[in-house]
Amino acid sequence: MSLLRVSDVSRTFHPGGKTPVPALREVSLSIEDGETFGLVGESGSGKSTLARCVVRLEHPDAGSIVYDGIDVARAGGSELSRLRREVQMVFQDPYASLNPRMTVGDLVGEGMLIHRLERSEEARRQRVVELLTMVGLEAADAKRYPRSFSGGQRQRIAIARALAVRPRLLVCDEPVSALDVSVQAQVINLLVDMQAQLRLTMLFIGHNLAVIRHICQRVAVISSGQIVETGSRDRIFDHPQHPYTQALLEAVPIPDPKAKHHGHAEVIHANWS
Amino acid sequence: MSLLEVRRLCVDVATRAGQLRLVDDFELSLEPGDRVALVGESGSGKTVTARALMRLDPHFALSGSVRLGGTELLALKEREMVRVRGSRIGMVFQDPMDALNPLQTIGEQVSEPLRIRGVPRKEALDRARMMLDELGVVRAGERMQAYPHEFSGGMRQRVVLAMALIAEPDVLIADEPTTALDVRVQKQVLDLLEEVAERRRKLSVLLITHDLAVVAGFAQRVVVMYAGRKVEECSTMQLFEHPSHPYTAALLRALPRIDRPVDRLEPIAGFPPSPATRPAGCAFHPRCRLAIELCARERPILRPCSESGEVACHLAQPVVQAVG
Repeated sequence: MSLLRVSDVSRTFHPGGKTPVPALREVSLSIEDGETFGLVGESGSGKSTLARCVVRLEHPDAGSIVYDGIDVARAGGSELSRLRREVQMVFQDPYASLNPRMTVGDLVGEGMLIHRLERSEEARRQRVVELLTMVGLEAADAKRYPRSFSGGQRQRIAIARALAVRPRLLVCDEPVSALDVSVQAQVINLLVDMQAQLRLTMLFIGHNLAVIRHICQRVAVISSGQIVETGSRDRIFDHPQHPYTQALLEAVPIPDPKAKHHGHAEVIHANWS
Repeated sequence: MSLLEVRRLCVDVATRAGQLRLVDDFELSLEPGDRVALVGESGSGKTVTARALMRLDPHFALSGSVRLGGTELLALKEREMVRVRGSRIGMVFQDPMDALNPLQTIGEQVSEPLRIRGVPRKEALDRARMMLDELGVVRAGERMQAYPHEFSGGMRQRVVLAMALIAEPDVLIADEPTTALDVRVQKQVLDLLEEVAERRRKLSVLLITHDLAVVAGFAQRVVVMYAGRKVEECSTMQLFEHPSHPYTAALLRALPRIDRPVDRLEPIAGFPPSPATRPAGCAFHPRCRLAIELCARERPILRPCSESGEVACHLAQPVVQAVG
């Protein structure tokens, strides 16, 4: 069953006095319960706008987004409260997404407080420690401030914060793009583990096709606000149908000095035949 | 004698916490026509090294030696250095918008390196137009009148490349020229860089990047930096097939690859140190799976590890066997 269904969603921005920018044009997709769904696109393709619509940071002009029976744009009262708890987001920049004046413990515990998830302060504190350990940090880190952590550690804090309220859908907008390779793999593995352990559904947004291929079971490709192709990971990466997907995949540099020469050889060969 | 010879280059900066060494004993030789990649993660010192070669930051204290065609750059007066920048070493930066003046036309900016060297205005503008044309800027004549904001990211990078090349430098330093670009534009710029290098047989290109995939497609030789030090240098082929330094090998294992999907990535534990927290001994030892007691105590020096390569690791030989 689909946990999230996006139907014909459009969103146009009207920058003051300039031509309107259609960020999303009749976008439809559905994400099944428990799957990791990748949305891949270049900058300006509308992928972040869609993520923001899903978590209600942004409202569509037309179309609907339904999360587990809740109309996201119209939800109010207890439905809105459930939506705000069950759908969590991890942002790209772990330097901008964490309040520098809050301790890590407060950052991770804030959601529990808002949603009244743990009864006592002691229970909350214990749960914070549990979460920090789960994402590979230490109990003592709860007393520290974000500034004393590196980018990769901050992203762990952001993930712990999102998981604290026991979400069902995690929307990750380029969560590893700002990280170095050696740290990126840690955070990718953490997301994969959390997804499996907690049976999360994930919408993973990114531009790095190798990362998307590694993490996602199904993938949609977005270009100029329109989904051009949706399919299983194997179909998108091994048998892309749309010319845009093909062009995107062909442009990805391969970390193998021999791959390049193969490519050249094929091109020359093609010219001969 | 190499075209560019860097020996024991150290870059120090004064901070409130005292003197900080950003680059430690860096060595590099570039021959005409070389295509070398300088790779490292953020904070590894690769950009600082490149900027030090051009002496771009007056507050950095440089020591060691940087010789370009026999001239010691570190001994030059600033007004002499001005003549080296642009004419003998050209540089392309990560963000082309930062490198361009938003209030000047493209033509003015591309021709400037020639004009300040006394080339008459008309000739300088003519050559700028030809340069832009060569680098694939369509209707170059018309576009000379345009301003940077009218260009896309990829086109801006072409303009910056034109500025770097117009005075026919011996060395081109490209610092993450494609990092801010989308994958399709990145490919265009990399192809262009390759074309430029093919056409100018004597031009030496130093490409600075954190992206190993970009390295594989462009460079013949790779220098790997970690925590301000060179830890490995070898041919590109060797780096990908038989990396000698445990850091390089671990980096390759941590990389999600579109061409070789794996079930699980192998991350490197911990995170890269900053210059202020650089561990004693081998800077990588706290994250190294193979580290022995010696690694924490003694800093390994660079030594030959293959026909063309060198590596700074106490365990270099056993590692080759274990990893290979």
